[in-house]
Amino acid sequence: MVLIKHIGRYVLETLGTTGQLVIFFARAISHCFRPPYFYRLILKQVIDIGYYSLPVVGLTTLFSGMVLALQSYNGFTRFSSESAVATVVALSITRELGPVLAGLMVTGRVGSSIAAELGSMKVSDQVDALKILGTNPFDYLIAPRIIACIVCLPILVLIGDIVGVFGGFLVGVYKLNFNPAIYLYQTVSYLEPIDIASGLIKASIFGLLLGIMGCFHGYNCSRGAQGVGLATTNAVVSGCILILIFNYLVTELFFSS
Amino acid sequence: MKYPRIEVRELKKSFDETVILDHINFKVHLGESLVIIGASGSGKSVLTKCIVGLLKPDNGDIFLDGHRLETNSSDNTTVAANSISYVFQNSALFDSLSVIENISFGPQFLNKQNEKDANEIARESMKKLDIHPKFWFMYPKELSSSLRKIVAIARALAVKPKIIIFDEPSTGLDIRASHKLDYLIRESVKNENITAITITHDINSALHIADSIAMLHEGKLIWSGKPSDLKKSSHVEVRRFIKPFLSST
Ligand SMILES: Nc1ncnc2c1ncn2[C@@H]1O[C@H](COP(=O)(O)OP(=O)(O)OP(=O)(O)O)[C@@H](O)[C@H]1O
Ligand SMILES: [Mg+2]
Repeated sequence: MVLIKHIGRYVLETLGTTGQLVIFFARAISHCFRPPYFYRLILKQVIDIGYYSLPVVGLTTLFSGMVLALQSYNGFTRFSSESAVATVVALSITRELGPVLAGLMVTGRVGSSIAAELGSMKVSDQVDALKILGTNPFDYLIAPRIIACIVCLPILVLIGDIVGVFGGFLVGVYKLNFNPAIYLYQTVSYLEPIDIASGLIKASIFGLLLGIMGCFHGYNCSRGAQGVGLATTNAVVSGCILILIFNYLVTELFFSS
Repeated sequence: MKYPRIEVRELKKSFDETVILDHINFKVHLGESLVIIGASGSGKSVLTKCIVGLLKPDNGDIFLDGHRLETNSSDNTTVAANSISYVFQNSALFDSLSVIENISFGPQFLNKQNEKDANEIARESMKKLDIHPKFWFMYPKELSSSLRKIVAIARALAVKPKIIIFDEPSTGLDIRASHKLDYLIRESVKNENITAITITHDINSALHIADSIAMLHEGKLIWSGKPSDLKKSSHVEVRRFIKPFLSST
């Protein structure tokens, strides 16, 4: 009996949170398309979210590209098809690793800081103060962050793609002794626009997801000492999980047929 | 017939089954200064947040100039009464904005002034409250807590409100600053016809600024009346609350 009660409460709570999230999502998106726009805040967020994430994304994709080259070379020598290394590196980086790794890393860096910032504003009544001073927090706090996430992630991923392929190139040429010209040729010749485009579209979706999760958990942060910490953790965990789930769904959409 | 500026009728508010406020009724008239006193946790902040529309009452009505205050429950992002200013107990200054930007925020976004005029209003407001120019471009985290409080008051006054609510404005201020604040509240009420609700723990300052005093105890309004009658009250909780002040003066 007690067990049923617990399960019942858990199910109800989960449904409740999901409902809240859906409503929050709809409102956040509608405020992204509706004035007033706070251009200065959007610019500030673009710098915070995009520019300052460059090192993290660059390092991640650089080393992933390098490892990928090593690993695939190692594997492909067994079928004596070493020539596929460049192509495999380029395809995996642009289609999968670039967007997913950048999405996860940026969630760790930005999703958490959005949640912490909004959470502490909520707890210290700054969100209420905004309302009193005639400003909708969705316009002033949430829309700029979400717009910045959606815009910045594809740019970060594009740069990450280039850096990652370059990492593969470095290993290929200097360690595995590929001819640089042939390596580049093999990189480019099998790469199609859809590979890069699908990665960038994924990146936008991931940006939206991580922005929404950061804002949702920060904005609904509970009072008390653990409130902000909990909001941060939840933002990162839920952001990462959603990114991985949507990664599958979007891939299916693009490449299943 | 003339409506009271603020009227609260049968207000009830609870959080997760704990009743915080119950059966609250009172009126505040134009240009009147009401002081709410009461022990910590008696529900003073919750009551004033209901009046500005930041919290939605479970029951009862709030009228401003005879109009019922509508609070949208799912989102309370639009505060109905934008002629009300609120000084939060913990100041609630915007961390990411400097002092002058904090103060010009209201004139700019609530009163729709352009940036230049809003800045001018902020400067006037800061001069009125003796905020030294060296602080104008500092950020809230660089200020002492009493100065943050004064900046929060300047921010609330800068929008030229018709109603202003002070949640413990003088807590943490030194005696001189708190006297000056009492004087400022008095003057604003008298000269600019502002209606003020002030929450305070300090009976002396309450006696100084109030036209009427209301006392909350465990979510109920147990006493209200003129300041001069407070010391004569025979209510046991009121006597207990004011006793430390009677002995010290
Ligand atoms: N958002 C909230 N959620 C749940 N409980 C709350 C909330 N806000 C206030 N309370 C509870 O309501 C009660 C009254 O709080 P309130 O802040 O109004 O007290 P107060 O009279 O202002 O006290 P103080 O003088 O310390 O500021 C407290 O017990 C508090 O825990
Ligand atoms: Mg309080």
